[in-house]
Amino acid sequence: MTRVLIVEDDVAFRRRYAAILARDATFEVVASVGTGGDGMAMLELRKPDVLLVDLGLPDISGISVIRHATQILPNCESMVVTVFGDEEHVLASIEAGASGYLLKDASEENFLEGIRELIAGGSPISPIIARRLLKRFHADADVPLTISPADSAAKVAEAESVASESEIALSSREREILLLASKGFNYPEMGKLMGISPHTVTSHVKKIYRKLAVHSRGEAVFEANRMGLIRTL
Amino acid sequence: MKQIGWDLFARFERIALPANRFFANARAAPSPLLPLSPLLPLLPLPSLPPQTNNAFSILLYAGRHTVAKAWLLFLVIASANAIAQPVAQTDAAVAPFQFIFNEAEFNDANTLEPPTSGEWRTLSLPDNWFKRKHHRDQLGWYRLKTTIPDSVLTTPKGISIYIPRATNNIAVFVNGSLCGVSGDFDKRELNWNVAQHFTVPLSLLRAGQNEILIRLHPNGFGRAGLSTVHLGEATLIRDRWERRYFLQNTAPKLVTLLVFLSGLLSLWIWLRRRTEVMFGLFALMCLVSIFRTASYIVRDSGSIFISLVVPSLGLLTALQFSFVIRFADAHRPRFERALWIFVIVAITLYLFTPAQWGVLADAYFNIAIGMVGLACFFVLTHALFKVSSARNQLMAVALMVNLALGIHDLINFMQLLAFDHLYLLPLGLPLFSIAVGSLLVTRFVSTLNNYETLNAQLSERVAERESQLQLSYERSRELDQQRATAEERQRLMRDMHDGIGSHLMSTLALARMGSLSNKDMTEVLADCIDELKLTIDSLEPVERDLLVVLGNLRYRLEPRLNAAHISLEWAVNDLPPLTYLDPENIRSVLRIVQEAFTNTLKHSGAKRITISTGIDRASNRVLVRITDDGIGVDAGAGSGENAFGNNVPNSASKKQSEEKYSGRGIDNMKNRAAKLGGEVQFMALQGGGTCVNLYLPIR
Repeated sequence: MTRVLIVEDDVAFRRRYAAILARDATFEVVASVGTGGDGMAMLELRKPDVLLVDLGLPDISGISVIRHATQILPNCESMVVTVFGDEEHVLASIEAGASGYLLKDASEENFLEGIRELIAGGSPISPIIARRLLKRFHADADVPLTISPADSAAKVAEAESVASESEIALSSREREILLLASKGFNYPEMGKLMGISPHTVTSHVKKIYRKLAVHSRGEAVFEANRMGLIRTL
Repeated sequence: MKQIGWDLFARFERIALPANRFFANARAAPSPLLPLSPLLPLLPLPSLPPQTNNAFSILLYAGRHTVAKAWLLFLVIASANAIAQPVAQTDAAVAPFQFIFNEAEFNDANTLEPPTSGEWRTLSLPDNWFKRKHHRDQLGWYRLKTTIPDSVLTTPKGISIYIPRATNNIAVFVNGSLCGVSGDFDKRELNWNVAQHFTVPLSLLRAGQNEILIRLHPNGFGRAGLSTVHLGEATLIRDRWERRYFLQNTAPKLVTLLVFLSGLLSLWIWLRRRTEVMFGLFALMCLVSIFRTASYIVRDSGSIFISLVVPSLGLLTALQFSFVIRFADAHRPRFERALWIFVIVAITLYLFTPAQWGVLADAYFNIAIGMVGLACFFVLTHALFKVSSARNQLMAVALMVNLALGIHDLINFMQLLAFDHLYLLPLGLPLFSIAVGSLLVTRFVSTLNNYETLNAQLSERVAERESQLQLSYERSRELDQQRATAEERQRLMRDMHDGIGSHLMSTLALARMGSLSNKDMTEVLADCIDELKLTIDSLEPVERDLLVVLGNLRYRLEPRLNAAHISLEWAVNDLPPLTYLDPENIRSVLRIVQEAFTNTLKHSGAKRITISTGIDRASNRVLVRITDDGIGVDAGAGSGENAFGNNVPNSASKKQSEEKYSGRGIDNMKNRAAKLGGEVQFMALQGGGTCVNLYLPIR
């Protein structure tokens, strides 16, 4: 049984999500609230497995709710339900620790499919977000390199190892996935092109998301990334 | 002819008598100002009162000071003579032994050996042949007698003779034996301005009465004579001679060297800065003045220097005027031209004067040039005082001092002063060098100062300009931003109006009429949301990457394709960046492709859609091809050109394939493609299906 917490200020949507989830017996809606504050409280009280959250809440930002969930419930999968799935909102959610997003206008089947995929460890990624992440990680990887451009290879290697230790740098696999995703290939196609299963591709994407979240943990690092984001714009 | 010259000098003697008397007095009592005399050129002239704006009052003012300074200078000159010629003293009791002969016996026997005949008559020293009208180019003999104490003869200090001036050469005999000569008689060496010193061997002297004979060679100049004769202990006499020799001989040589060097320096400056004629003139003036001072230094009577002494004065006067008038930043072009013409004419006349006119020609030339020089002096002083700057004052002092010294030397030359009086003109020349030097120093310093100030100002101005630029840049960026925002807003508005707005309006109208089914309503709203998503996606930054744009569209459409059980084949190849892919153009591309998709979804009943991208080699354009396996049309003519090398779709009649689309849809697609500089082609495929080719330019 997957316990789901819904945080959504629009009553119609709240009802719709509950109705969709009710069609699958593996889901149980443990609470359905309309404000961020209530959502935070329910997180602590009900300890859900899945958090469905809207970003435009009346009191606090959905991002804060996601961040809170990431902090107190590491095993809880946070999913943002957005209207457009646009880059800015999705990236901010992932940075806060969300593992994926759903579109508000998705059909019932797609909606359920999305949640199931997310729980199974698969995160969707649009070409635009893939491209943005590529740029972003590339720029971050550049930082230690540009500090000592004329230094020995040993130092560069050291910098890279530091980067990988801190789980910031992308592996070449992950980079390849982002590259293919940015060209519009879907997971099965990527798997075929790379000789791996679609499932492995999705788990890679999830890892990338986690790196981005780790990456942006803490205020200072978060700010630095904001600046990095601005720089790549 | 020569007689006329003598008369002329005699007339001058009468005129200048009071001056002569003054100098005689001055010599008797040395000036108390003497120790300060080297500081005299440094005395600043008081600055002009501000109301002196007319030339006359300036002249008066300058004149007053000129007079005062001139008097001071005369005192100094007299004092200089006083050092060189101490008053005769015979007090041998305490002082070392010395005897100064103020008297001598003269014999005009024209013999090389001491005369045995002829009359000896007593006269006072200095003896000036010109003054006692002894106009004769023949030898003359002087006899001096003195008693030398025994003590002097037994001390090892030695005895020497010093004669301040002997014109022109002498031979000295002590007790009948030759003791020394002043120079080469046969070559008529010019020794008139060389102080003489002879060491007397003690063996030639004897106790008691001693006799000194001096043979004088006049050498044919109008002037001849003998100054006082000093006899005494060698150290005392030598010191006195050395002092005189320095003033009379060494100093002019040093000055000549200095003037020569400053002339070279000035020449160098002029060669590097040809526009500053002043320096060229000064260099010439220095070089010419060497000719002028040569007469005080050069002993070789045949030297070219000596033959050019007189004409050089004229040239010097003109050069000096041209130089100083430029130095003072003034212009007196008419005066200057007249001066040069006069000087050139005078020099030409002088050079063509018959040789026998000799002294007379010299005199007339000197007097003429002297008059003109005086006029120059007043013009220059006036010009110099008009702008009261330190360097102008210095130059004015130099002019005055040189004028004073010139007058002094002229008077001396005319035998109006004591016979052994010093010539001083060469000593005044360095003042010009100092004035020019001060000009150069002032310029150098002010240039450096200006340079520094300029630098400071420049960097200040650069900083100011920088901040201005920054400001204007920010302002223009702000404007750009505002304009971009306005344009974007306008575009969005147009989009909303034509797209989602009208869509919603027509839906609303249908809904009001009650003729809209639930399914239709859902469809319309889904369309509207698609439209919105498309607009939002077009605003995402994609860095001109068409693949990202198409990929995103696919990402959006995939759920719907999946729901319709249509498989999508994604056969894309990398594309070059397209610079024109701004939000508006992205939207156009998306609309074209979306239209193709929508039509396939709605009308064709296709099960498979293929999207491929690549570069069409034939036209060097980007090609986006959307093919489906929907409702077939009749097999048409011809076959399509293949851009990808596989999956060849055979093209059928364009017209038939277009029928699948509404007329407006096709027009819209074509218009949008044309706006992008591209093209859309529609083809029906053999065996069913449609192919839409979108060509886009590579830019």
